[in-house]
Amino acid sequence: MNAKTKILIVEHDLNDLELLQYELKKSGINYVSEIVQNEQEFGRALENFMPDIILSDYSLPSFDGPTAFKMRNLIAPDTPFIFVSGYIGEENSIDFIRNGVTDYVLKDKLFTLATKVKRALKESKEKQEKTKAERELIQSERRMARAQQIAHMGSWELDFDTNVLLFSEEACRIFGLPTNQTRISFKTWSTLIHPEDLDFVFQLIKESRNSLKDASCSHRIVRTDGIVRHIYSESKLEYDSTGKPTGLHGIAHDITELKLAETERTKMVNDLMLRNKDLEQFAYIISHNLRAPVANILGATNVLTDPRLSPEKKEVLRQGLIESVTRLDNIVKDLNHILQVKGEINEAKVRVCFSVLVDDIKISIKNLIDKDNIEIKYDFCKVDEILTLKSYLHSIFYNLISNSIKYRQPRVPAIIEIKSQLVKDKIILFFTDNGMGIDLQKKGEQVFGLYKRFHPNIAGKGMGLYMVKTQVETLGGKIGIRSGVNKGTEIKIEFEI
Amino acid sequence: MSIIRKYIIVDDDPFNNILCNIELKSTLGEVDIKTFQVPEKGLAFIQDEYIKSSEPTILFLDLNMPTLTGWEFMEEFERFSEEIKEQISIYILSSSVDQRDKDKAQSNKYIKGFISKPLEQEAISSIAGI
Repeated sequence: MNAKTKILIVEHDLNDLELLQYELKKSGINYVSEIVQNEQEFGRALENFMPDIILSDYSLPSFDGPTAFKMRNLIAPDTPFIFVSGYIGEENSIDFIRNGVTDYVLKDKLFTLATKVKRALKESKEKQEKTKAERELIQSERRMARAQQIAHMGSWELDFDTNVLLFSEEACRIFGLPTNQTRISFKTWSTLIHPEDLDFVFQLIKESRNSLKDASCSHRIVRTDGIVRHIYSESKLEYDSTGKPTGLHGIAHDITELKLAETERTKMVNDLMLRNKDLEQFAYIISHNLRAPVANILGATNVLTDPRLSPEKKEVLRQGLIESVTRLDNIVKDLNHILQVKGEINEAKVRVCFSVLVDDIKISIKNLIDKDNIEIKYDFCKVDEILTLKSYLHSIFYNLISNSIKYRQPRVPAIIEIKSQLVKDKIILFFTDNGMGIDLQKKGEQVFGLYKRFHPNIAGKGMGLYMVKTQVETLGGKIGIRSGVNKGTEIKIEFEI
Repeated sequence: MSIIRKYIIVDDDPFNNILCNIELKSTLGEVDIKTFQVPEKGLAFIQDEYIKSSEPTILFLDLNMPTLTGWEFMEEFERFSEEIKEQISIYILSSSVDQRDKDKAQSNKYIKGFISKPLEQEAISSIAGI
């Protein structure tokens, strides 16, 4: 602050110069000065001396004030410039001030000089500070905008009075608006919220206004280009001096990638859990189903070592051994088949028509249907097509239909109904029959288990529903069952589109 | 202690039941063996017979059966009166080699032991009290 003020003086008259310096000193201004008399010297001084203020005579023998002023405008436009002259004239003086000359001092009124210099310096300093503050503000806004852009986090303000939202540039970008469209109406904003999320977002804003509590939520938006994004939004209420809420200040964070990663992770966890269950079941099969014939073979070979054995017993054991070995072979084949289903899918997905599929199956089991007077009805008016693996869907339909036939109630004409529904982005299939049903209270958990059988009098391997479930899950679907003894069975299958 | 002469086998696997019959008879001579492929029928038999008689009996119970598992059989069995339960010593006879099955069997106070199939003479001897 104590640096000396640098004054550049354009003056050729030594007397005038002395008077001028006397006035400056007298006023107590702490300064250094450089005196120039021509264009060259003036130009050099502007560049090198870098004056805080310029005091210039109007006319000099080899130079003139207006030229000096023009040069100052080019090189140091912010430096205050004061004419110090014998005569300027009313009109000239008005022109000068209009063109940006800071002030003028008549030589016969030099006593005003110091005051005018001080004022000019003060104004210049204020102006510089203001410019600096403005520059810093712009810088800081730019920094903020860049940070928002990097973080994919925009900010917004909502004014309750005007119902106008003020978006940051990044908020505009997130919503797919042009970055200069920072003011948007509440109505326009609401058209950008995903229609399915609109009610709950509105409800949240309302609650926040009523309860005076800050709010946060995740919701979807539909950008102006039609792309759906996931947004995490957090808002705080703003109040006026009387404590009345005036609006909301908030941030909007584009979390689409996070959301997708989360969905992916959840899916992976579910897949792993499913795999784990499969492994447990596999261990169970090895322990029970696979080992059962092995134990029989072991037992039979033990017994066969007894020399007292009658030929009839020996024949029974021989038959039993053949049966056990065949069973063992069948289980190995089953396991191989199951593992193939769970393995990679090489088949391409195609559009499959439910009604055509059911008609095909009806033809292939025509004998059964005719013989036992079975009625198969279907209603696929809601949705009759799905993009899927045809062999799997065929197997699912075939197994469920043949189960319904196999486990029909004796003496009751079997009726099998299949219908489809479209709910949101899901296709739901219902297979309903009036058969024997299953006691789900007792057997619920085991219904879809491998080698689980519930009707001892009807031949079966206990693989049908297990295969259906495996295939439904391989296609990314879910399966559920409702049933009761002699009350029929309803199988519900959901596929995401 | 005299040798136990009454046996019940509950297992859906007919060949296993034949093998058990042969092994029991060749180890113990003439014994009374009742075989049930359907566990529900086995339960009904026990309820009917053991109300009247009282003779120690050994029951070999399979675990993996379609309509009623060995564990479900046990749940039903536990509802019987103490007089009935006292007469019957239950042994799990399963093809399972799974430790969890063995642990589960051990924690049930009505189950005397766990035998992994096949049923061999040595096991029969020790159970029957020879």
